[in-house]
Amino acid sequence: MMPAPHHLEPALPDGQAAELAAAAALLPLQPHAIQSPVAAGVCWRCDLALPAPGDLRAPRALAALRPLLEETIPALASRALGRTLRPARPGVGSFWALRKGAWYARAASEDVGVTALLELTGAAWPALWGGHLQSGAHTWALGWDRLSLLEARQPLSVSLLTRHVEATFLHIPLVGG
Amino acid sequence: MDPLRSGLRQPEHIDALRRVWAEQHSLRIDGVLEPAQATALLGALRQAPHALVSAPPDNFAYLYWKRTATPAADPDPVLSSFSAWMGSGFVDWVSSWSGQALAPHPSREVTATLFGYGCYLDTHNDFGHGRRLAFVLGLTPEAWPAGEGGHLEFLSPDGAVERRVPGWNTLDIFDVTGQDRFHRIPILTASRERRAVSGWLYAAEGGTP
Repeated sequence: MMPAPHHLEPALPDGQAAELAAAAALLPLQPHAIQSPVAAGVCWRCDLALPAPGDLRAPRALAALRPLLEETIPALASRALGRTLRPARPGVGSFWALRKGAWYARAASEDVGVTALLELTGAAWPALWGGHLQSGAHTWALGWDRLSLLEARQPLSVSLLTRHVEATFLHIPLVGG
Repeated sequence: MDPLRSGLRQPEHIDALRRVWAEQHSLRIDGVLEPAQATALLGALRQAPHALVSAPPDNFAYLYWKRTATPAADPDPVLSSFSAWMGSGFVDWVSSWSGQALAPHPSREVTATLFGYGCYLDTHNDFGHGRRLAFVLGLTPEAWPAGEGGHLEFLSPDGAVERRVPGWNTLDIFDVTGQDRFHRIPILTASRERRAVSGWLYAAEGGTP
């Protein structure tokens, strides 16, 4: 039996999701084709170099990202999954969006990491429009201020999004140790 | 090298095209290139890298794979030769039966497109920018039902839809001088390979405005 994804909700201190969503709306997300031996898909994406600690010029939302991605979320994930996890890409904040035409399919693999999704999607739509996630028997729509933890070895799919709606999230790969 | 199927330059073919164009201002020509040329072109395009491009829905949205190059800058000899013809012999041939003095894109760039799973082109017209005709040179070897998307659709104000299945070695060409010439390619909901070379022909300097 495949374990269900962990969902932690609300994930962030009051107001932080709203600040991150506002920052994400200003980013120049670009279409991105995912092509790897175990995964394929299309999403929109913008990778940011996180502001250095103490950089007073950085927007508040982005300045708060480094401790969030490198300390808070790995600690939450480690506690929830019972093993020590750390960021796979320290110093990088990866904002993703599902827009019309987005889809994803990942096969089962030997990957021992965890994919954390910090969901910043404020509006819901019918599953028939696509853009919903499925891992084994578990299906869900991206939501608001929710952290989803997915074992990277498990298959994951996002159904083809066929309407002009948008789901935004931070994609946070975590590795053991 | 001129890849146009030789018969299409014959006077009787030119006359037939002239008649259909004058009546409909939109047509499809089957077998537009010499078969070996179409096959070579498809092979070269399958090897050439394409970029995934999109636009937000504030004007009209799209998502597809695209490769744009000028003949001089194209490293592939097949594509370079074909692009050079698109900017000269092709334009002359279309001008000969459309009754218009036409010109290629000023930069001579030629665009190849690939629509795969999830790709689409929302409803729009091609009006303005000096464009006279739009063309789609179909290089799609397989066919599929319209319900899977990926067909070129012309929309009429009365709600009628004219569909053109993606073609192999076909040329779809249509007038874009009216603002009501709306068309689209619905999202592809199956894994398909819709390939084409597409673009516009422009009013030649000193030609019909």
